[in-house]
Amino acid sequence: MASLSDDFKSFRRSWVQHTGMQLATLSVLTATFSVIIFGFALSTNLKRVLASWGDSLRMAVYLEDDLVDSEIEKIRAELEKIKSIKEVIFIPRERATANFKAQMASYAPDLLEDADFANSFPASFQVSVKGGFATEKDLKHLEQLAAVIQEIPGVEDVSYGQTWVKNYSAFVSMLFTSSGVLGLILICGSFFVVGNSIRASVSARREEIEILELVGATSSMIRRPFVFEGFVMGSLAVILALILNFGFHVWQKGMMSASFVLARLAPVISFLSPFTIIAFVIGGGLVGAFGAWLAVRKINDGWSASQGLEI
Amino acid sequence: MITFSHVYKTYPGPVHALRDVTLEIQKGEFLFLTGPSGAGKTTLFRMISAFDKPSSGKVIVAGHDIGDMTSNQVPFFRRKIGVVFQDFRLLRGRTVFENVALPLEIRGEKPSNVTKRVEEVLESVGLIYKKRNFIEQLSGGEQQRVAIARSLIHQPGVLIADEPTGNLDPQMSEEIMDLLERVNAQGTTVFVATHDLELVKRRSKRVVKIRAGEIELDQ
Repeated sequence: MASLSDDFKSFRRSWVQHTGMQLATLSVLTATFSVIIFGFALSTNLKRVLASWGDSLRMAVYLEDDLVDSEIEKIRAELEKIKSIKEVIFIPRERATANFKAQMASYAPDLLEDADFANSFPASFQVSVKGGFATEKDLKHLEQLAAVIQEIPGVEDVSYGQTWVKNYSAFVSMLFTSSGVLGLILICGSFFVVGNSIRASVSARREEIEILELVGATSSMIRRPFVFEGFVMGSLAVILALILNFGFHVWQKGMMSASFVLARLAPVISFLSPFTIIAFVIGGGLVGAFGAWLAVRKINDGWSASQGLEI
Repeated sequence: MITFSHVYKTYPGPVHALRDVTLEIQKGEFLFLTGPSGAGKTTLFRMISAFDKPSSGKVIVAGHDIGDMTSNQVPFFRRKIGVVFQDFRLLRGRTVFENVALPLEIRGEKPSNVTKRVEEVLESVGLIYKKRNFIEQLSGGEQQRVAIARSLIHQPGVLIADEPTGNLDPQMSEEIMDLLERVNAQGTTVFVATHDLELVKRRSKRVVKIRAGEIELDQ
């Protein structure tokens, strides 16, 4: 009665007796878990993109005009003293102008004819930060670092695309939070979906439950096959959802690789790690088992056969 | 073995199913409970098998006070008694062997012991040759014998049978009653509810007649 093979037999009987109901439940659960897994994978990949951009992030430390070489070297020494700075490269005014001209030549040649505009670039230090950034915490660190550098005498301004980085980071954070909230709502919904399916199973096997009670089965013996059924159903739904998401991931990655604009991002995008996949399958099983337990927790309190199943 | 002491049972309505029932059944006794439909026979049996509690009074079965029993104790109490119903209450889609083995499997007996005991009991009810058959493949009489085998597998002190011959033809009914008498001869207290008075008359056993929830006759 308490063996795993009996639990599987019981699960098979449920499927044979209520194939339609079970398929409907599995479909709804698969759709639910697909959305959760998609949200998780999207947030994770956006964070990865953020981290990859963060790795190549450079801070531009613009210097005041008319600094002499000794003052510039003093600023370099100050910057190199800061522990979180990986590399400091000096960009003299001439190179900054040349870089600008090279970049703008094909886009806005008219601008280059304006001598005042095209020659007005200050000298700067290009600063690489250790560890890049991937989270809002990293962003705060960057802000603090920029503030420290700003205080160094001779520094005019510090720029690292603050607004853009801030907005992107906030977007990823919001996506992560809203995915989490949506995931929680969907998980709660899953409890009801599994619960309804298990209630149908309980109802169909009411006579069997009464017979088990009659011969002295305890409540845990009676509940166990239903909880097991919920676990298998939840795990199965997650596996199907993972297959669907993996198919979507392969298609999406192919599309990105073929796109001129997104091709650079394609290697950064990856599917869930084996550990996450296992965690999702077990988690799905636990969601199913808990939903089933909620549905059957009241059956068999020792007198239920005479009172009708309290579900 | 079974004691009813001033037992009342009232269901919402109110419906007075039992009124001041006092009854003493000795160990090893064979007893018939008769009475018309709605007289209270099933209510009385439900109390003996802990499917119901008395509204007042005391019901003691094999030393257990049914009224004081907690819900956690009920399954363990049921493992000490055997119950047979008119509608057999067997698990469809399972074999004779699986149905009879159920009480022992629930008790966590070793598979080898279960097989040995099931074969012994099926032999005693004359169904060993059908142990691999599914319940749906058996006649009514055979199904009732499987139900009796299941109720005896764990060697209970008390066997209660609620209209065990209700769905059977006269010849099959006699066979089932013979089987119950053999069970009783081995020391099990047997308590049979029936409205088949002819069947009762042919067996000289103690008879308790119940009407409108009250004991009318005990002889």
